Amino acid sequence: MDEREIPSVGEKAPEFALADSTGVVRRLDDLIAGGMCIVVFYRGHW
Amino acid sequence: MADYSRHLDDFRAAGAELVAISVDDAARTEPVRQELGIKFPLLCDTSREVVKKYGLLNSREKGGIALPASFVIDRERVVRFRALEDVASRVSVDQLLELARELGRGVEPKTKPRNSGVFPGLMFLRATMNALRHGVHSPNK
Repeated sequence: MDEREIPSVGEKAPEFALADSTGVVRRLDDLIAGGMCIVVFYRGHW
Repeated sequence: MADYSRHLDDFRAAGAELVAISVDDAARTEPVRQELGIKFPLLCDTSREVVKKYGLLNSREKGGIALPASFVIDRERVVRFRALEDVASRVSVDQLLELARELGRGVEPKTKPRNSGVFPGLMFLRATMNALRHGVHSPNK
């Protein structure tokens, strides 16, 4: 992992639009519109 | 889990949405979400595009999975808070809620944990994330 590629505090977070597990597409811009969004990356099954 | 939902409401009251992202597909993720009673969206980055954009692709494992990380992103899309790997799970809900409320009021957070090794908040996610990692086995049923 190159930490320089990971957005730091004060930097812009990359935009994304991804389907959730029920098929609904979620856009970061919509998620933050109400104030902020907590985005958690997790490993998933392994 | 009841606890958890209560906290989710608290975050929403503070103006914070919550999502979690992995490279697992919907067929794999949705049964887990239902089993754990998770009420926020679990996003499926099967192409790894978003994980890569965030610099979090761990290509040494299973064709590439996400490294654990948490971000608080404000309405200008600016990162206000970040925790990586182990640090991301050493957190308490009260602290994150406080952070969310301060950000919601437009106040700079008093706590600046970037170098402290202790991320305020997100402890409540730990149980869920651990469960996502370990608790539910692949559906070979």
